[in-house]
Amino acid sequence: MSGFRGFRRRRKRKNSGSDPVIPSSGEGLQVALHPELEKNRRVMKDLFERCDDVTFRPFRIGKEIEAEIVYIDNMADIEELNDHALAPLMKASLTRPEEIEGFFREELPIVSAKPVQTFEECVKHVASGDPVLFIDGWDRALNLGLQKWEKRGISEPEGEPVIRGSKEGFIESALSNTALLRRRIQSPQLKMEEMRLGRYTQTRVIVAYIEGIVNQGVLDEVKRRLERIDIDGVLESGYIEELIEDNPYSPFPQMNVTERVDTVAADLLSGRVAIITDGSPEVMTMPLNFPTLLQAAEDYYVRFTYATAVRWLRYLLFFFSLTAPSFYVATITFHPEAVPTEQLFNFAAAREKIPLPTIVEALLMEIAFEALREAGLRLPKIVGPAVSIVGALIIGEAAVTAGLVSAPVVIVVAITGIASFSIPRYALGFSMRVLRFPLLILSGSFGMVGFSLGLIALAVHLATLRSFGAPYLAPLAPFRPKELKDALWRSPWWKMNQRPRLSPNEYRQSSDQKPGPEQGGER
Amino acid sequence: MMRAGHLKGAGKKALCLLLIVSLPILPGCWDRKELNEIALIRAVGIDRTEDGQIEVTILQAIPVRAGTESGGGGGGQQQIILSARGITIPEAKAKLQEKMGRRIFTGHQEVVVLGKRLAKTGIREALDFFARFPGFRKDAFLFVSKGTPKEIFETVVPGESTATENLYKMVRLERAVDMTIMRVLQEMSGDAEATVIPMVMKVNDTTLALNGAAVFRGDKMVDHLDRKAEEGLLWIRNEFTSRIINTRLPGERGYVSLEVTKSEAELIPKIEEKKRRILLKVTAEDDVQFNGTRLSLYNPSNVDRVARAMERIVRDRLRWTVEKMQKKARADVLGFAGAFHREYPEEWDKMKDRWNEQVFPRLEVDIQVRVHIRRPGITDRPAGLPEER
Repeated sequence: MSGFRGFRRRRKRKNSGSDPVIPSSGEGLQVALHPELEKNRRVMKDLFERCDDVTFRPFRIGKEIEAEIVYIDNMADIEELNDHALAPLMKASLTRPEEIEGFFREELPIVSAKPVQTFEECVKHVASGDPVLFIDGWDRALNLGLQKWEKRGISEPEGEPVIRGSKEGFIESALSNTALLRRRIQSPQLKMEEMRLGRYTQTRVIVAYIEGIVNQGVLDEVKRRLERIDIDGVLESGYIEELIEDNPYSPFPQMNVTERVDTVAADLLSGRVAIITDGSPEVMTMPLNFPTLLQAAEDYYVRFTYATAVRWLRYLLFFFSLTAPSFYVATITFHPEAVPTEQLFNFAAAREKIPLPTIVEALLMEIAFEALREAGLRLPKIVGPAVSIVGALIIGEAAVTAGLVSAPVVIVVAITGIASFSIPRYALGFSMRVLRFPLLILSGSFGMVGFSLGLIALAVHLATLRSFGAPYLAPLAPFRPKELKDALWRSPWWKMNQRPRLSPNEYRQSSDQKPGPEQGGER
Repeated sequence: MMRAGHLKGAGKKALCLLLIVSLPILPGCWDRKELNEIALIRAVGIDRTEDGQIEVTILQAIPVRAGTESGGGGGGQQQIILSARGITIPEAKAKLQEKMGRRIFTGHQEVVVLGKRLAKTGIREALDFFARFPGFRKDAFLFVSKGTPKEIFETVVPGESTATENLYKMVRLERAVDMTIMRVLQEMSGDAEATVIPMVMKVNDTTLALNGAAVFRGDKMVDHLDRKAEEGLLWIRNEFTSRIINTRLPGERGYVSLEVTKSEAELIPKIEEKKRRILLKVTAEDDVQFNGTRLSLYNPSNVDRVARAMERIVRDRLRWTVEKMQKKARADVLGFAGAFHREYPEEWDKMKDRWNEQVFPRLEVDIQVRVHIRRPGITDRPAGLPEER
């Protein structure tokens, strides 16, 4: 026992101690480069020891000066390197290292070339794919900035398709993503601040916002939380999401995660902050409020009457997706007197030969449904249809015929499933899927009392939840009547004059834009 | 012991979580009633036997799955009728429960039938049970049966799953006074301490019929109103809904049939020098359904004649009902007591104790009827006659 404890203590001490040496990221290497090429080469060779993908290419500038290019295969643009770096350098008529700087300014046709001074920078650039040029007799190196690797093309975001609206989605490259955003918002007020996260991965993370519209408090908070992150790797935006959330135990998403360029642009324009993570096509925007989760991008592109109607339908279905099975179980097992008589007799007839309690029936079907969904998601696309056929057979017909579950439960689970698919944000769909089960067990144990308690607890949780300091349920609680125009319904664009209260910059457009024969008038 | 004391951090949290999670499971869902473990009762009958015991009869409906052997098509129901006797209703109910494998569930009983013998000896006991037991539906319709409740339940009405479903639908069509348990309880403890409950009788093995109403003074049935008197009652109690009334005009051959579409009764009590009077004002709107005379009903004076004749008929009918209640039943189920209570609260205190026996029977009742004929129909003259008048 004591030995075990001792072990634990020891381990703890180890963890809480100062950071171990991290060689690969180049930290602690803020050493200036040496003028002698040979020394520089040795340090670089040491650092990239056993990194066989790192290529050292020695050559001579103008047949006189020793030089060496360090780059990583397939991460550098070899053609550019050959044509615009190697070729002119070799042909240059330089004799003294002092002339080199002038040569770069006047004759080297590479726009991204930039001198660097420390080993730290060199390592960083080489590791990220930029070829770095070392020259004998010069105490600097030249970062040529010619990185290039295979990228996925820009395609339609599969998770959030629309009929009307842009079909552009973000990709895994952060710089492509910033370009996509920049193309949407062509203003110098759109700021992109870059930082690197992950000791080993050195992931490029970009904080984007529009100066003058963004809420400064939120922006500062986002940056502060990002700077606090100390982790060995950031492989996806999800890492960051979990590390900067307000309430890490809440089942609800606290930032909006989207692949859609237009959604992020719209969020930036309403005063939010976006975080772009290299290696992830998902861009996060914050703060998030709950109604946003039930709004699809398309809501703002189709006519407002239709958008409003669909939004209401979605609110209803959202409620269904959370409560339908629990409501059914609670009424059937605890309050059968509340069901219309004839309906109850039909339910009773369906349940007559079922040995399982209703709650078990419902849980069984819910689990089967979740299993199908999970299987359908993970399987290769070719096998997908097979799953749905098997699922339809099991859930639909056979389970009922075999007397395992009653038909009403199948209907309820099916409605729940369809309802949960109508939630436009996948993250909220996750929350509903997770919350459905505790609510189901509560309803199965305490009936309507448990059901109501569960919902009340949920409401309390939502009301206390904050996303980067902004109340999660706004504009419903705290009640902001002016913002209801984009929450309870979707007002036409000519009426949505004001940004959400979040932004210090109140008006987004002039107020007399109602179209009509006389052009304007109504506010 | 030591180990428990040494639980720290994560272990403690896990233990807490385990305890919380087991909380909903451990009590064992004591209140849970699975549908296949309860006996769904559609109707309850209560009667008094010859030896003074209480007999409780239940009509249990068994849901039958659509498509299976005995279902006979679209998910019907089979019914079981069971009876048990006891000194009190709960005792009889407990005895019934002994005969059944499923728990009696009265959350869906929609009809309660009281036997005539019980009605005559007093229904207080039954009402107390209804009012006290929370699992008993208060919006079930009450009936008094001419025979035993069992007889009513056993009648198989074609097209309906149970006999009582037919009854339930009959009163829901508002052809009669529809009295729920709740309303009876209210009226019995109200100003007049009197109420009416519709009566039902078995016509033959496949037919049930509503048969007027039983008048209760206190908890005992004191009179039986036939359909005609019941109709007058409905007019006065403001429960009247669409009904056909035939009128004959003086000096004309043939009938005019009117459908009463709307009617409103107003009670205006008056106390003048110790003399108590009440003015009963009825305003009705009628549609013409049939014209058997040779008069054109597009002629206002003819319409007027029909209306006046109609008024006379209604007035006579109301008079007859009121007198019957005053003289024979001596039970104020017309709502007069409430009207006096509202208008003269102080005087009411003095007369409330002898209302049914002395004041109500001697009340002078003035009746005013006003009939408006709103829609004479879409043909102006009697159909099939040449245009003359």
